[in-house]
Amino acid sequence: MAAIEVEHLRFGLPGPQGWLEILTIPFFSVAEGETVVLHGPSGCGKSTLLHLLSGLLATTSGSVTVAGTRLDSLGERDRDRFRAKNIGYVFQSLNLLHGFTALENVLLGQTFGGTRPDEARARQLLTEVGLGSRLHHHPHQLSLGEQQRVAIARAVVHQPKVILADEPTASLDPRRAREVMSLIVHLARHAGSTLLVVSHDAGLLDLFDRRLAFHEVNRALTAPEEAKSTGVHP
Amino acid sequence: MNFFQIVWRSLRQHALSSLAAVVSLALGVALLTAVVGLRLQTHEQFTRVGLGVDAVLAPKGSPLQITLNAIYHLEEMPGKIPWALLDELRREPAVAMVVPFCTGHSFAGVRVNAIDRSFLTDFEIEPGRLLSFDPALGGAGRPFASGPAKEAVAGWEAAQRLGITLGSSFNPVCGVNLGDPVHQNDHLTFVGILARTGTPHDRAIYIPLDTFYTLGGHGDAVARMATDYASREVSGALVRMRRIRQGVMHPGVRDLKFMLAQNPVAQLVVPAEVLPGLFNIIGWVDHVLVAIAIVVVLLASLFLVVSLLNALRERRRDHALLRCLGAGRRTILGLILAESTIISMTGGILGILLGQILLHRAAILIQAESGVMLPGFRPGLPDLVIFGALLVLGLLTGLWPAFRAYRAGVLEHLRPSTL
Repeated sequence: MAAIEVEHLRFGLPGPQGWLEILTIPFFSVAEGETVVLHGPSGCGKSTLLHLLSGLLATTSGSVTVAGTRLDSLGERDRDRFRAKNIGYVFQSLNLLHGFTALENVLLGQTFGGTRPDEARARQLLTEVGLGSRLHHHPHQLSLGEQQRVAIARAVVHQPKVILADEPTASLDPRRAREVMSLIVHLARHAGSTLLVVSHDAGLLDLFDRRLAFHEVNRALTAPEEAKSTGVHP
Repeated sequence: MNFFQIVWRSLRQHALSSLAAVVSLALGVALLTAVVGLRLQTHEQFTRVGLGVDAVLAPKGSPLQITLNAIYHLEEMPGKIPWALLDELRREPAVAMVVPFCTGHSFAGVRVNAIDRSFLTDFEIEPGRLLSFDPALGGAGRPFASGPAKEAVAGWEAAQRLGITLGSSFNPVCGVNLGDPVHQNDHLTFVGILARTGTPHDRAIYIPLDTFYTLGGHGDAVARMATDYASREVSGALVRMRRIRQGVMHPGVRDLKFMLAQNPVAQLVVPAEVLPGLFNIIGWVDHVLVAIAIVVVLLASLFLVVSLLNALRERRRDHALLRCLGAGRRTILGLILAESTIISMTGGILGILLGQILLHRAAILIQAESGVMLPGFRPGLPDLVIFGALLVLGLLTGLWPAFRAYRAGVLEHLRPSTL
């Protein structure tokens, strides 16, 4: 069964020269428990796809089904609730809230999903990512790599069905990048979550079950002249 | 993490600006609480019907000046009235008691009031309550003797202030101003200290009225008044009216007042009518102080808006991250409103406490200056109203920053470019 399924997806924004088509995806799916990396150059719409899959953005047309829920038919409040329960998200950098300790940042991952807070799990996860002795450190007391580890722990703490990671290693050196990416894949597999990572780091692709070049997914990239600037609202 | 823990962390993250907003609100509320409390308490205490004095028989002159002199031991009497008028007044069926007095003397800054002995023994300062020398209430000794005894009784506060003890003596000053002459040959001995009443009666020294006419240096005319009642004059007389049913003052006071208004030298002053006028005169001061306090509170609220907006600018990314974690727009709106409400609530509570402390200090000062004992520390309905108004103001103050946060987009605050 597919954890992520996208059909006839179109997404665009109004630009100075008319409607700007950013994504045109006829079909895309990720199976339950699968780990997939989408790679491609910067600015090609990879992050936008993640935002659509997490419900942060609404589609222009087409269907987006994540963990069995049609996000394109939900309003913003329902998409927020869905995201809180079912999605774990890791960004490129600056993932953490500065007024909160590492432990508190992880606990925030359980806050909005309506589940009972489980501090023991948060502590255990931080220990698993190698930060058991830094639970009460604030983000400014942690290195970038450590901050990413906290963000990863937060993304999995509520046992989401889908984990989305947007260039999670972009700000790290190659050695740290591999460590962090391995950690994400390991934790996702351990939790039985589906993992979709966006990355342009070719050296890390071997860590995933499946690798997809984003231009194969997004037709807006393969037919730029027709699709990118039609001047017509779809 | 629950909602309030997030709010608390957020406040802690901007502790300095949050604290500054709390302090500025607290100062505004303290000023407002103190001014309003002082206004209510002074009005209540100063207009409390007459401290047992229903009326004052006095020379022609300012009723306010007469009231302040006869009851509050301030100011000076504008002249004298003949003793014969007192006899006339005593014959009036509506009058229960007439207590003549002569003011114009002092000792170490405390007024010395020559007064009829009945003031110490029979005068009700409240229904059923006489002046006493009860040691349990700080009193000691006894009333001064009848006739021109060289004895004196000190009010509780006067005794405290001057360290008066039973058996100590003093020489009265002929006048109430610095440098006035002292009655060098007239040693008066304290035989009593009045129990504390919490009224201006505590602030004076009392000597027998007959003794007043025997003090040296007043001249022959005054000395003759010691025995010659036909020529005797007094500064005035405290008047207590009879009571009709349920303790209501005899309505004859109005006829007496009208009758004495025709008299060429005397008048009947009713303190309960005069004192509210005092508050009308100084009412504008109240209004100005209340206006200043309200402006301070509004400025503090403006400061709160600015600090919330500044904090908002710094926290856009935090809010965006919270949205990514599943927080709805309403949660973000609620966070900001909760912050402004908590800041207002804390400022309000601290302000009311500080205001009550100010009020307490002011009550001590007012008692020292006027003898009127204010309740001082007494949080009440006005404080609740001020607190409620501040909470509403805090919510309104938070609305603008909260709606800005509510409407803010998520993605533009997460990465420079995500497309």
